[in-house]
Amino acid sequence: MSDLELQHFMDRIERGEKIESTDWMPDDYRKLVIKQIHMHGISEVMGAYPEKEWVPKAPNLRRKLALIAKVQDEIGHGQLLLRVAEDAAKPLGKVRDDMITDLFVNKVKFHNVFHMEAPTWADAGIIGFLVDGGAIITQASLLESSYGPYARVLQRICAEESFHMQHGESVVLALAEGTAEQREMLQAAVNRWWPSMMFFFGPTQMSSGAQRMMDYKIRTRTNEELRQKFINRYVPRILALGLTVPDDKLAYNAETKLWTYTEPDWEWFSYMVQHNAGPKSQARIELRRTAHEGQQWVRDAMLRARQTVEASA
Amino acid sequence: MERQIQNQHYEVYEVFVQRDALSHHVHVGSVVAPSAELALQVARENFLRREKAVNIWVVKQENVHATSYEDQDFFANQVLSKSYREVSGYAENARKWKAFKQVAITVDDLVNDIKEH
Repeated sequence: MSDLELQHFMDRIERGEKIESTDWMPDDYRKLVIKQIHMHGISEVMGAYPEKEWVPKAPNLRRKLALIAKVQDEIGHGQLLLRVAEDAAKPLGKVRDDMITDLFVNKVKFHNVFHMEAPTWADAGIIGFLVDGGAIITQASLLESSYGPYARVLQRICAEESFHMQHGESVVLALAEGTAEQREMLQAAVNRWWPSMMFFFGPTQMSSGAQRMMDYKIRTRTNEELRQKFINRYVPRILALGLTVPDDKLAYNAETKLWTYTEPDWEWFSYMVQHNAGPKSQARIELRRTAHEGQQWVRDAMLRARQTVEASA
Repeated sequence: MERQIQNQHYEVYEVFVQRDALSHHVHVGSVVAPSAELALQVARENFLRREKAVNIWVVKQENVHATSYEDQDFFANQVLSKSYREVSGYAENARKWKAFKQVAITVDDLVNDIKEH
């Protein structure tokens, strides 16, 4: 890589041009793009697991259908994102199977929220309300990404997330206007998910990789900016439902226009994500492995069928 | 045989969706699949869970031939002024018609005439 090539590339980024998979790019740009989109895609797939647990137990048929649709969307988003990651990884010879199996050998991480338990129906609602809300804020900021294929696929994904958001809010609103027991269940779910949501956006002091992604405009907003937007949007909504936020340090400073909040347990959450050590990490990875390996014979049969067709042609 | 299969992977197909009979096929993304037939099904599941369409094309990615984003010289034919080719290049017509006590009309006015019949 010559300095001239790099300068030309950075000029393109500065001009707001979009980078395509077939364009020249610095190796670390390619690696960061692959890492980000791979992790995003796998998180979509793993995000289907906490919700799919509630499909058989949904309270009525409409909720069940909506939840199935949502789970299908998440898997679909995973496929779209992995496809974008694969195109970026083409020069490295990485294919779908590698993208999936990396999960089993801890070579790709997934979002902290999907390591957590969803013990009640209110959790299914809160996942749609807060987790999808947070995910939409993150994804909306990535619509500005310098990597063109990522920005394009996110337009479709964000459009479908808007259904997830409404679905989650519908479940939450139904419980909020329900019995005392339902409201208690909802409050318990908010309490369970809030610290995870504070961790979700990442530390205020960003890692060198995250900083590099900002330099390359693969992402354009800081972790803290996104977290502030989330708090600002969702705290008033939680309070309006007559619920509380489990953080006594939570306060808005009208002067700085920023929220103060209790730091999540960074060390524990980081350890959990790094080592898949959350309450449901291993069980969900195991389900994913069973599905992937259990269907290997189908994929092999398809490839054999293709060989037969080609041979007889 | 088994070893051969292990070294093989699904192929990439680019997906084009036609929304209705009067629309062109539009590229929406890509899928991996073991055959064109299955690529069509995966494309339907990935891109048409909600939206309506009348037709899908899948094309093996290796069969797509494209210009380069970096070589924008290819589009050099677009840098010259082309006002003579465009409606906006004829704005003075409106002023002149006014002198002849007529208003300017557009192609839409003629199309609407047909619709009203």
